[in-house]
This record gives sequence, C-alpha cells and structure tokens, in this order.
Amino acid sequence: MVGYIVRRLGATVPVLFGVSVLVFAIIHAVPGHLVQLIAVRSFAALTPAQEERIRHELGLDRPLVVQYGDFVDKALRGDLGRSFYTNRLVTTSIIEQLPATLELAGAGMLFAVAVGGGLGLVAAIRHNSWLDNLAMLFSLGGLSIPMFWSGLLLIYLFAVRLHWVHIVGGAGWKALVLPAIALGYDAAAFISRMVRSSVLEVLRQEYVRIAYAKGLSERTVIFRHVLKAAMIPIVTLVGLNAGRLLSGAVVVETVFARQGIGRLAVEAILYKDYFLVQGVVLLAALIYVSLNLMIDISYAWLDPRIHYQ
Amino acid sequence: MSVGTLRTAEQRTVDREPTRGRFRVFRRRLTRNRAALVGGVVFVMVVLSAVLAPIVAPYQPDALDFTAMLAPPGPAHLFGTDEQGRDLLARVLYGGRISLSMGFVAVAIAAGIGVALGLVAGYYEGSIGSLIMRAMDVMLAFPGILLALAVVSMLGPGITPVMVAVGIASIPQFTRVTQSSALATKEVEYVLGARAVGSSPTRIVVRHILPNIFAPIMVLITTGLAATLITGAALSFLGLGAQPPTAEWGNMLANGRVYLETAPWITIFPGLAIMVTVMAINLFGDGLRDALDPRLK
Repeated sequence: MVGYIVRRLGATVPVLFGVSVLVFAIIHAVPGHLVQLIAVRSFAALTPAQEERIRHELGLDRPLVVQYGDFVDKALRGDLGRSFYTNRLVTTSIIEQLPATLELAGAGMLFAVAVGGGLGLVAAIRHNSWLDNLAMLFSLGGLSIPMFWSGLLLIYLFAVRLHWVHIVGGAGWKALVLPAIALGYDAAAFISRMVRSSVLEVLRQEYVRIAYAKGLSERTVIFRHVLKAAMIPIVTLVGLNAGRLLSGAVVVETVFARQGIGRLAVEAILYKDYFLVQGVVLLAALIYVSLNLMIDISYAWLDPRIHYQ
Repeated sequence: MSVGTLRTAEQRTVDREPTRGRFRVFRRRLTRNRAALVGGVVFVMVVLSAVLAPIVAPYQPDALDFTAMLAPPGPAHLFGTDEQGRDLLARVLYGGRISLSMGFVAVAIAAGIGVALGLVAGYYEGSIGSLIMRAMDVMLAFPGILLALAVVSMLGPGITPVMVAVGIASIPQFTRVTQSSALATKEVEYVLGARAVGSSPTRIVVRHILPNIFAPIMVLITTGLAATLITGAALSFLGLGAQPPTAEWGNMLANGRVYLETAPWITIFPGLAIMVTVMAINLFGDGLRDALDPRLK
C-alpha cells in the first residue's frame, strides 16, 4: 500500500510539471503583447524606455527558462502576481472566491450522488421496468440539456413563475438549491447510467444469487453485497465528476450571478487579466490532480488487489 | 514486394467478403434500433435546416422590426421576436449554422490530431508513445471546459478561437481511445503477418490498424460532437465565442437571460435547439456504438 502511494505520487510529478509549463505559457501566448495591454489599460502611449522598464519589472527581459523558474518558485510560495485590473494579489482574489465555488460544487456533488446514485440503483434493481425507463430518460435529459439552459429554466420556473426563490443572489441554502441542481444534473445523469450498469453486473454474479438463495432479504443483499462491490466504479465516478462540477461551476456561476472562481476566470479572460487567468487555471488543475490522486489511493484501500503498474 | 501484389483477383474478392458481411450486420443492427434511427433522422433534419436557412427562414436573422419588439410566438413570428424585433425562428435556423460548424470543426480538429497521435503512441510504444501519453495526461489535468478557457485566453474571444480551443481540449480523449485500441490491434496475427512480409509502419497503421479500430473512433466522434457542440455554445454563452449581433445558440441564450421575466421564448427556443440536437446525436451515437461493436454496450 505504501509503495503504491509513493509510486502514484511519483506519477503526479511530471503531470504537475506539464501543468506548470502550460499555465506559464499563457502569459507568453497573449494576443497582443503583455506590455501593450498594460499600455492600453493605462490609456497612455508608452515610450520605448517606459516599455523597457515594464518589461524589466515583469521580468520579461530574462531568458524563458529563468522566467519559468521564477514563476514556479513564486507559485510555490503562493505568489501568482497581481491582477492588472484591480492590482490586488491574485492569491487573495482566489482565496476570497474559492469557498463559494467549493460550496456550490459540494452541493452539486451531493445532488448528483444522491439522485444519480439512487436512480441508478433503482433502475438496476427494477431492470426493464417503467422505473428503469424513467431513470434512463432522466439520464438522457441530463446528458443533452446544457447546464446553462437548465439553470435558466430553473430560474424561470422557480423564481419567475413560482416565486419560491430570488432570481439571482439571495443567501443561505435557498440560494444554493437551484445552482446545485443545475450543476449536478449533468453529473447525476452520468452517475445514474454508470451505477445502473455497474450494479447490473454485480447482480449477475454468482455470490449474489447465492445470497438470494440463502433466503436473505433484497435489502440485505443490495446493501451488504451489491453496493459494496459496485463501490469502486462509483468512487471513480465521484472523482471524474468532481472535475465536471468544477468546470461546470464556470457556467453555473455566470447563470446565477454567483461569486466564485469560475466567474472570476471568465471575467479575467474578458478583461484580459492574464495573471488572474493563470492563477485560476493553475488552481483548478491542482485541485483536479489532487482529487484524482486521492481517488486512486482510495482504490487501493477499497480493493487491496489493485497495484500500481 | 508487398502482400497485395502476390494475391490473385479471386483472393481479393474473398478478402473483401467479410468486410461486406460486417457492414451488412452493422446496417441491420443500426436500422433495427428505433431510437438510433429517430436520433439520426432528427440530426439530419437539424443539419439540413441550418444549411438551408437562407431558403427556409421566414426573415433575415438581423432584420430589425421595432414595431414587433419582444413579440410572443404567433402566426407572424412562430418563435416570437427578441428585444430588437428580430425573428427568433430565423435566428435559431441561422444560429444552427454557427453552432453546428463550431461542433463539427472542433471534433474534426480533435479527431484528426487525436487519432494521429494515438496511432503513433500505440504503434511506437517506446519513448515517443510515452511522451505523447504524458502530454495527454497534462491536458487531462485541466477539468472540462477549463482547458478550452485557457486556450481561448491565449487566442482571444471569437468563433474560430472557440473552435480551435474546444478542438484542442478534446484531443486527449481521441488519443487515449486510439492508443489503447491500436495497442491491442497491433499484436493480432494479420498485423504481425504484414510486419513479417516487410510492410512499412505507415502502411500497417493506415491499412491494417486504422480500419480495425474504426468502431470506437466513430463512437467517440459522435459523442464528441455532442460534447463540443455544448462546450462551444457554453463559451459563446459566456461571451467568449460568437459575438453579437451574430446569431448563435449560446449567445442567443445569454441575450435571452436578461428578458427571462418578460420574454422567456428568447431563452426557450435556442436552448431547445441545443437540447434536441445533442439528444439526437446521443441517441444516434448509442445506436452506432451498439451496432458497430455490441461488446462496447
């Protein structure tokens, strides 16, 4: 187990190196040079000397390798530069917005696992029944309805027509319900399909038939044998969908005019605030890589037969 | 001398028979799947209505009519009008041209580059293959739309940057599937045979491996089209893709959000267009998967 974890951690290093190179490249692939962008922002035509000074201040006059080393060194110390637009530290802006996104992603995941997992389980147990068809219709809808549209439909139905919640803003759990459903529906659809096929596969196993033959109740068989065996693919799905939810937050936060790092990223791109873009993209990748790492480690814990190859 | 030059005409005919047989089985399976057929027909209709928009649309998509602003659906405007009196049916039809193009181009970029990289990585397992797959791992470290966002931030907003960004972001899926399929296929007897008679690696990959891993790639192209269409529309919705006044499903939805209370039809119809198209592609994709290879079911 320890060896597996060490090797899995080792495999993460090249990925993190690649991520850092790609994020570093964002600044160097800016359409219109960075210095020109700063000049436009300050509404002033820069003299060559001023341009040179800004290049020097940003460290852009040094070799790329040195700049990359400096970027990694600063990033490791939590310094991702300052926003062009607000002049605030990128790290501060991200730390301020992150809790709102995590809250939304957490609520979305809760909805996805509860509804998707529940429907998938029911669909498998009542295979080929109307419940199964209904669950699969729900799943098809989730895979076909874009998040930004389902969000708008939810606002129209529950805020505009029924007045159950505020159109945008608000506070507490009421403000979280609709965004969480919009965000989690897509993941719930995915989870319900996978849980259904995974449980169906387990239900066909001999030991499940034996459990039934022994006279155990359906509830005991499902909760004690079937769910336990179907757990590994479900854990994978939670991991895969964590990324889905994180990226979905970009859209849902805009639809519901919520605070969060997704909205921060979109605004940063629209305002060409490149250090902020770098910061958010780096953070999202780090969260995703860490989640995948934790999930892979949890496999080894759930199933000791799993080894790192 | 290649194997082909040693075969007689009869042998070649015999060789082609299994392919014809397989195609017949595939066609039978696909046509028996009612959901897949409905999906395919609906998708063709959506594509046709977008292509023929200049003929079938009742108005020009940018024609303003200040006497009919925010008009609800009715005989004059079947889908209603927006805040500038523009006919929504015309805008949905014309919008399909941009939205579908974004999906098609993005999936073509992803499939073109992804399959080529996957074939190379699968055939040459050594350092080249490893390098390609590690690069894909890096790309997959950016969840969903975020890689596309990072690319758009480099290229700047617009329709072409979104096509490129979504295409690039979808490359890893194609590379992974192609690589794993190619790895399995390159050890089968006919490939080993081709290698034994001295066929070049390019010939082996193009003539022997690629046709035999066609099924998973085709399935991925269909599901990929649905995904790229949604991502492209999402980026336009966020203001990073098609820019107003261009009609595109994603930016029409963004525009409709402001009028959700007074004119919900501005939001409903472009969203319905996306949903129907994506659902049709998914149904067809599921049928295609089952027909091409029931083991993938």
